[in-house]
Amino acid sequence: MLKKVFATLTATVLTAGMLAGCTDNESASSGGSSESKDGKVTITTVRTLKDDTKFRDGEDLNNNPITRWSEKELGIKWETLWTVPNDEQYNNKIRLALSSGQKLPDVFKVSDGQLINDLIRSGKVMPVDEAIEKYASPRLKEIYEQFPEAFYPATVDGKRYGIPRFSGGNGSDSLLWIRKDWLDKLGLQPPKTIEDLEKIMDAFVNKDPDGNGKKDTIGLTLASKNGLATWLADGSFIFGAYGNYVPGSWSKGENGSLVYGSVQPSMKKALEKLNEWYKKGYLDKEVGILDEQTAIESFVAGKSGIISAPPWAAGWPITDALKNNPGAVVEPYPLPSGPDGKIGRRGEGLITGMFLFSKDFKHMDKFFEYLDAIYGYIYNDSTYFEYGLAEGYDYVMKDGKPVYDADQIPGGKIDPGKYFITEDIPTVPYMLYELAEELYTTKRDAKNAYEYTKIVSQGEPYMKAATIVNQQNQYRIENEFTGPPTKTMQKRSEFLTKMERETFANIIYGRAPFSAFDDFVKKWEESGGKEITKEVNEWYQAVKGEK
Amino acid sequence: MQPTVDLKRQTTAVGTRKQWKVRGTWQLHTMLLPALVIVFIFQYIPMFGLVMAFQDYEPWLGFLHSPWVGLEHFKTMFEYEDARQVIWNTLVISTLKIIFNLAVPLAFALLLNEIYVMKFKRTVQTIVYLPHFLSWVILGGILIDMLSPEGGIVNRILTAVFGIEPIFFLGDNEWFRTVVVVTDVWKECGFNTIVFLAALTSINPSLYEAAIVDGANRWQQTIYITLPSMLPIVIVVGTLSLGNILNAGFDQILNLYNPLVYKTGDIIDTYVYRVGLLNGDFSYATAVGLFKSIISFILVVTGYRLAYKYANYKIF
Repeated sequence: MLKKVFATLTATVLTAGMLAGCTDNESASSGGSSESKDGKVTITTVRTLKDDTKFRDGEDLNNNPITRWSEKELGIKWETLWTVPNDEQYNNKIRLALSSGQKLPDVFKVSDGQLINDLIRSGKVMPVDEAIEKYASPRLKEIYEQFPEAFYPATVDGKRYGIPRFSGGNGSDSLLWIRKDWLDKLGLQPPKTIEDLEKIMDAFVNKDPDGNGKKDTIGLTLASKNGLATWLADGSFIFGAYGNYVPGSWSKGENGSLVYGSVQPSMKKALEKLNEWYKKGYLDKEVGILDEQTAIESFVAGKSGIISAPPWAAGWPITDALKNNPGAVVEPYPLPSGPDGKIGRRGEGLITGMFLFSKDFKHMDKFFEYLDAIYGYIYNDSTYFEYGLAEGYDYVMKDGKPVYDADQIPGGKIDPGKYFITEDIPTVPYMLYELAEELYTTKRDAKNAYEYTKIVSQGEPYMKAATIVNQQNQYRIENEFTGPPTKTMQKRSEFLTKMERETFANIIYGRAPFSAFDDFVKKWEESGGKEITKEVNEWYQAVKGEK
Repeated sequence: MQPTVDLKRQTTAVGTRKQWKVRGTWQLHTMLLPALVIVFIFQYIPMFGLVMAFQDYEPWLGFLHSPWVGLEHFKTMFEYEDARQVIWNTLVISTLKIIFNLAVPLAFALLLNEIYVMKFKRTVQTIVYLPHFLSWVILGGILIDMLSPEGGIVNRILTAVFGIEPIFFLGDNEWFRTVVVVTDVWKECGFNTIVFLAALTSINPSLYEAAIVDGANRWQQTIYITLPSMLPIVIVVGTLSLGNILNAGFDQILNLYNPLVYKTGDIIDTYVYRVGLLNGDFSYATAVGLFKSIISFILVVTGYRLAYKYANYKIF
């Protein structure tokens, strides 16, 4: 009898489990593109919904001014099947859908290189070459031709499977932000070379720039826990001053093939410099354990005089530093050059993800129509977004003129650009800072809503910084490897990265001799680095061969 | 395991009746059902994922069609020094943690038990208990500030009182493990103390009364009555923590470690996290995780056997 009860129980639990497993499947497959009787097309999608996406009362991703616009003007009904708050969960959910054989949404964005590759190789996503040829508007085609590398992450066997979601191109590239009040107080000029920078740092450390009578200031804020070339408190300019490589990036070597930055001889010189700076007290004592968020604390607290950060830092963390230190003045300056006149910085990638399409998706024409309509906003030739994206959201009309001030808009300003499937107003690489430079140097007024909200309203320091970054565009050192991790990378890169970070940190701290770098390079090559380099170049040749 | 225990208890409760009847107790069983379902879905079903450890898992092929590679991932694990290093680190850190997480709360509970001013006792208990509720993400930030060699409070005190050079606690291989163990004990000590305090209250007071009549002082009472009475619970807590010997504290280490202390601070879980989630080598990460589980399993069984043998302690 007991056995029987057990059997029943187990059976019940099993069925329950299976049911739970199945429901997901069914709900997901109920979506799918279809054309309703009134000629409207329904397109399904999924996305991450970050905290900064705000909605007016009662609205959501499936019902907001953008979806209403798209349904009314373009005949596209968007159906967002699910949302998650961050990329990690998003990738997991897509991966789960892939491995459990669920139907994929019609259109969705993926930024993880490996996941893109997995999706393509599963045969469940559609090649897009033909669709681009047939449906993309001339201006989209032109952008695509201008940045063919943007397609590399989703290129397999010569076929393109995704539409890139472009980044600002140089949007997260860094420049120097320096405490101008300290420079003035000590009678110093802004740095042109690394040598100048050293003199400034020395004065910042030893001449008591904050005037509190204590030797408690440092020269430069760096984040090194997650690698020395990064998005905030970036140290890549030091490496760029000594060679054409930055740590952690694959760049073109002398013979045109891709080489790994961290093992190039020029690294050693920069590391020696960093060690010298550390010994002289120019850097945070804890620099080795600081990540991007913790590193900026010394700058915000007014203990550090220099930080290397992108133009958007004008908003955060620079404003925090100004708030904390009355009388502080922080100005943006170009990156300094090394002894041979070299300048270099970590270049942000061209894209922040690829749009992939389920192979059952039938309305590529509609997707391109939608995408081109949004691009109309930034090019200011749109019939839909003449004054802004949505009245009452990012602008209001007063006396026949658009007003963009947040306090003039009832209920506060909300950015409807986040409702687009691109998750923000799409851009063309380099366009934004190019425009910023034009606006800053000519002092002309903003011509349209895009120029106003994205550039002018961000303030003068931002525009000045963007101008500087744009003028130093030729010094970008970009990571040219954008494919999925190679076979050996999957197996060995954990070990290699760990060894690299450990060696670099130990050299900076003077715990290992400079020769440790040569040992590291040798060991890197032996422990898989050689194979990885070969695989990376095979990939590069394969994707480069195409359009 | 839960259902076995309950069903057995039921049979004994019903007593000599041979047939086990659901009729009288079906409400209780219905209440059990959701828990069973949850355990099954979230604990048992995911176990099928372990086959990944023996495959070259490709997401679009799934478990069913991914190619088999046998024990290759386990071989890789022992081939490279970093895996051996993390296993060693894990063992050292968690052994230290188990020892101190037993000893400190035990001593603390004994001391607290001697306090007769209830208000003071409760206040102390609450304060010690508080850190348990903070997450390591928050504590990590606080600790980085507190232990900073430049102006961190700990180093300031050390310099002012003992006149020693500031110590870079979180960036020094010689100090990192100490910091990890001390902060963990500090965080969890209050929680473990509660268990021991509860055990202390269950000691029969007549034993103490008898001892006092025999002329034993407090110290003798502690050694001859309190400690022996506490032994079973100490062994239980110790046994249970054996199962965690390879969990050296993922959250804690992830928030505190950095390249400078990889040598002594990198543990299996952080390693698996980097390999699996950051590098996307799921099969290899699963293999390392499985290895960890098997060792833990062996340790729990051994610990349980020992507890049964020497303290006659049995859970089921």
